Amino acid sequence: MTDFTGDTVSVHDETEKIVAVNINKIYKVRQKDSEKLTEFQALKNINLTVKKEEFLVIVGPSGCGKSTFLDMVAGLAHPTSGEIYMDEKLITGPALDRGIVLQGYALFPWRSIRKNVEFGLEIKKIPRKERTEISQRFIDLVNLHGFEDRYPHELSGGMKQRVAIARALAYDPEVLLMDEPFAAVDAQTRESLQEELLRIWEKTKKTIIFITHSIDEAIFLADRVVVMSADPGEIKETINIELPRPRDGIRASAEFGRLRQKIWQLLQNGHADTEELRQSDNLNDRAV
Amino acid sequence: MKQQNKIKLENIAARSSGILLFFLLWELSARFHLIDTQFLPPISVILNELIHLLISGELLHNLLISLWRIICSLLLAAIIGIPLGILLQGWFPRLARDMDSFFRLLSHVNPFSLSPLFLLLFGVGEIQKLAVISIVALWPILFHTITGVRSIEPAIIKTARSMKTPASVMSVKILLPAALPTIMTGLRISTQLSVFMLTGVEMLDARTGLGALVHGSAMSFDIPRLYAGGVLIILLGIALIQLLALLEKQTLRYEQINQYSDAASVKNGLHGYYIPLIAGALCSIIIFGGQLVRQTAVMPEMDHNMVHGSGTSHHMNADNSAHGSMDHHHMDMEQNDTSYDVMLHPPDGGPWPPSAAHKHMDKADQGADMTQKDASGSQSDGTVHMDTADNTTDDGMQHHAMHMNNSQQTNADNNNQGSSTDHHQQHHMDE
Repeated sequence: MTDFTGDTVSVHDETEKIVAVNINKIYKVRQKDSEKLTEFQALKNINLTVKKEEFLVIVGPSGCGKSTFLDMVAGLAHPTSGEIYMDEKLITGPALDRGIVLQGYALFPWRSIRKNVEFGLEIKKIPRKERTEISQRFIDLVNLHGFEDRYPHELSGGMKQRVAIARALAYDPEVLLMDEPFAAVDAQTRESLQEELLRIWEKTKKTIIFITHSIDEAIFLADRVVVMSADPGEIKETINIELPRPRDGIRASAEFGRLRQKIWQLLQNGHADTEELRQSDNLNDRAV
Repeated sequence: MKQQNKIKLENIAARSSGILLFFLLWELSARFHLIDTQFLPPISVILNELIHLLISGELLHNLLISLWRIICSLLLAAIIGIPLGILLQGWFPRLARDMDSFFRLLSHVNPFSLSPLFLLLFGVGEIQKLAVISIVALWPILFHTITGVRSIEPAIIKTARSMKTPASVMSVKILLPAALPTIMTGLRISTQLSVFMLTGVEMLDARTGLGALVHGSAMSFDIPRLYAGGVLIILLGIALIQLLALLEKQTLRYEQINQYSDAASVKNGLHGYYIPLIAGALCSIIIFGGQLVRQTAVMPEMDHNMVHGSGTSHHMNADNSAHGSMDHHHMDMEQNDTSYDVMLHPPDGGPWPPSAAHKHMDKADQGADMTQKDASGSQSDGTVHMDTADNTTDDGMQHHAMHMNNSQQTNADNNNQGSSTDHHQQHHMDE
């Protein structure tokens, strides 16, 4: 079920984890030649519901505001208008119930792998002994056993990203927010990381919002794919991916190809031809 | 293993061949009178002087005092500069940007050219010396901390923020370690600057420390000693920078491990062996050096008086004027040996030799007299006396202190305890 069909969805649905209502984000930009501030709409009328334990992937061209949206869910940015709820509570700032994984790994280079993974636990004030146990569990989960005392620069890109995932998972957030996490690694590593992420997701039962440029990645991972368009950043369509899991080797299937074709077309189309259509859609969504 | 050591030695020899050649040519040109040996004595003479200084204990004494001043000033600068930089750039980046030009202006304040201001703010004494050095050492540390925090990868801060990291944890566990490589650079620049500042400060108005050693030698035209002092200052600078490099290597060791491929070597080879050692050394210098500085804060001022006063004063024989400021240390040691009067004021460190005390007695009495009159604001014989006795480079305030010390000492010497005990204790507490 998509939240783009215009069906009224109850906000109090048990299975809803994150609900974004009419999100707008407007930046004021100073033009080069004039003193006047012009407005730039980064996000326009975003209505989105993420279900509990769902793997939701957002794809879109650069500048469509998908990262901005993720920052809002993380509590690191605030919408100009609109609200985001998590478990029916308004998100006002960052908290340990959401973990983020960024493209640049953002590991702390002065901390060993173990200490990196333990950072969130230190903030949670978990005693040392327990911390070591938990960090060990997650280091093992991302297959980095034996690298506990290494430092980030000693690891490859793929390994670093696995540390970042372990670090975000270690403090046990309910939602994992991933902003193009695999964009910087080579294709082969990327595929193995995707498989690993699915394995981790099935094991840990987290709700995941995942942002990517890659259509393949989106289809391979997602329960649902949200396709966005740029300028202004809007949701173009939400597509259910009903491919069977586990998805090893699914990339060769006909259904995979059909979905890829569909999303590709959505991304190719300028927003101009569907503008009218979507405006009415958004009107419907606003009623939610 | 032997082979390795041999290679190591050869390496060292090869690297220092330049400087050895320089020394050799220096020695030769001095021996063959190609240079004026009066102004540039041969290196062997300087080395000899160094050994002499080492044996007499002066080297260690002055070195420890200089080290104490440098380390205290640097610590002071770091304690102010690093947290201020983190606070400004971490939480008030706009303020940090706006303040930048103001800070740049302040950083050009030369404590020497504005010495009256420093006298006014900090008086005369160790605190003023430390302030002069730290104010110069502060800016590189502050600027580098700000730059360091500014150039932290935004994703790192974003990740930490996403975990709702409290401000204190953010500063200590994220901003500080992330900016540390840049801060260490600032610290290195500050160290170098503070060695320069120290020399200047000690030449101006200290009676102890390496700068004073050089200054005293220059005044008495003891050229080998002057060079020995100069060499010591160079060595002090190099040693401090090397120490800092070691510290840097240790604290930033996560950056340097990649040549070691197995985890074992990381654990065994590079786990902070030096840091406890360095910390221990710093602590001992601060504590024992402080003790020494406090001792000499009383004694050398008297010695100084003796030395410089001798030229004009009828209270003194003129014969210890020539080598004066150097000899006083030997004298101190003798005094300590006699253990005269130690019971009366051990914390002041220095008993006064009875003979010298006698010579000083009436001057000191006048001095004590003078201080009282001074306080009441009236002109007196005492002040006139002071002027004649002190036509050296020093300023009045030091002599004020000096006279007080004298009076204190002489009172004790005279066993005039009935009337002077209060007086004595008062001074004692002041110190």
